[in-house]
Amino acid sequence: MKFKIRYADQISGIFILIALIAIAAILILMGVNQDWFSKKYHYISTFNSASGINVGMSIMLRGFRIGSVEGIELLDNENHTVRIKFYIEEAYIHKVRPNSVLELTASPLGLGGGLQFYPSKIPGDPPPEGSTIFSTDSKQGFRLVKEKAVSMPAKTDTISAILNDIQPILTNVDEAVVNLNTLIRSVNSAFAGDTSGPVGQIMVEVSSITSSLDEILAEVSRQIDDIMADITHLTGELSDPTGLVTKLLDPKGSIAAILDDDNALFSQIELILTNLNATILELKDFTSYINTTTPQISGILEDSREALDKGKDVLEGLSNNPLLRGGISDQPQQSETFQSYRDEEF
Amino acid sequence: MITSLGRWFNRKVVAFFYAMGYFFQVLKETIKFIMSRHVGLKVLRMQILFTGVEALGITAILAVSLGAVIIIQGVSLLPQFGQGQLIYTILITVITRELGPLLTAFIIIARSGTAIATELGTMTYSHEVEAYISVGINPIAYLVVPRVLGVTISLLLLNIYFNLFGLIASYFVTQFFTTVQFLEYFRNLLQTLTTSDIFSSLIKSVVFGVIISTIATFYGLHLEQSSTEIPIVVIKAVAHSVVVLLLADVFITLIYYM
Repeated sequence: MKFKIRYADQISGIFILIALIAIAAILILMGVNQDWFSKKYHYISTFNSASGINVGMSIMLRGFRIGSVEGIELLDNENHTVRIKFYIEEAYIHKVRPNSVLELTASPLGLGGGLQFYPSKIPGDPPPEGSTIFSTDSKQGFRLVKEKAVSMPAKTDTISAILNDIQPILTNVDEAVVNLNTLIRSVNSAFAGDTSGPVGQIMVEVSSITSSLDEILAEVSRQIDDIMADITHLTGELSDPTGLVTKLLDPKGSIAAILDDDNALFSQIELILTNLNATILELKDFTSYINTTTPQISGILEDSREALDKGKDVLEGLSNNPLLRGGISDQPQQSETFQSYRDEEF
Repeated sequence: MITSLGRWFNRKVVAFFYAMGYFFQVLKETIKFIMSRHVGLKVLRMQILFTGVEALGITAILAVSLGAVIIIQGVSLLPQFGQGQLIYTILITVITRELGPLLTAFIIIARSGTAIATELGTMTYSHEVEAYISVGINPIAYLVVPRVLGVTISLLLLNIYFNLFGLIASYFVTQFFTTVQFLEYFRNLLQTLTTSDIFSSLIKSVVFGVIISTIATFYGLHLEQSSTEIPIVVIKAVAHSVVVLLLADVFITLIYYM
């Protein structure tokens, strides 16, 4: 039988037990955390409007939750004020003194808010349950806040928080500007050649080069003057109608005569180039032929070399042969039998 | 056309009253089952095992994932608007009050609703239900009630586990990405959690459990002639369960906020 089926009762029991223990533990922890079992002191307060207030809203004292709103009702009076019922937890009841004030705060960005409790600066026993704690909407509460009779922390609204956040950024920007100023000053002194660094040395050298530049410019100017004199001379030659240049460039001069020959010179040159081209083509063909016949010629040369080697061996063999040692007999030169008629003497 | 419309309406009314009659019969037998220790207890225990224990894995994965996503998104987004504390309210609203019971119910529909409809449909088709009746055993008392109770109890327990995993276990997963202190997280969570949140969640679980099991058993026993009807009744059971579940969820949420 499968383990799960065999111990189905036990597994189901554990499954149920763990869930029940967990829910019980959570309920107990909730009770402890939310002070279910501590005594609550109930008070009331009045506001001009219930906007932003809801049942269950926390009553906060300097960031601590000291109580909660229990109920809200619209009063049937001429001002149509709103009454809220709230409680303060036992742990914080000693903070509730006569002339304490409640204020409804809202986030400037419209996100949330809360009921802030400001205890009176004058010590005293907590007011009896059911009594009114003034809100800042009431005249009494407003007066207490104005007279600074209640302990209010410095307000840090969102805008102030943003400004506080911007302050370090502005400080950093200021430091960056100071650093930039110092850098610019350093660069300036480097350009002035006041520093012993590489930039300063470069600037000193640039200064000396600039001073010697005048001399160079004077020399260049002098040379330009010479060139200009030559050009003037050339211009004079050109303006002379009997000069060599004029004759050469004259429309009836030699160059013009050579050029104006009904393309005879051009045709001649073209013919030469055509012939030359043909020759090059033939040479190319010949070269190709040579290239194709090169292996054959190489073969013939190789065969000839081998034949010569063999002939050498034969000759050596003949010379070493004792039977033929006496050498080859001289062959007498036979006179030619044929003679041309031109060789005859008349 | 009017005649056919009238017939259709008449059929629907008859079917509605038949279903209501079935529901009250189940309710009556359930009370009797609780009062007298029945032989069906074994079936009940097995049903809790199959429906609750075996679905714990997928429930845990779903809950941890959902909780982790909410915490990561909340911790990274909400403090930018000065509303970091809202993360706890969102967690409780989403996991405890709304999605916890609903997602657990969907898991149960997918796993056990279909299984119950198929099993009872097969039993009806093979005349096993008629055999129970012939030997004097009430099939509702023996077959339906343990399943209804088993599914309801399992859904209730699975919802508790879903909350545990979604609210607490997901915190440990998020520690790979964020650095929220556990004590601070847990204290704020307990501070924000109210008894009405827990009560609403548990009520939803019970109602959803009753709905899923009643519809699944109703359609399982509703099979008439052929085995080919089994998938049809399963599909009907799932579809009707989902629709009624969502309507019930809306209804309970409305009551909570009234």
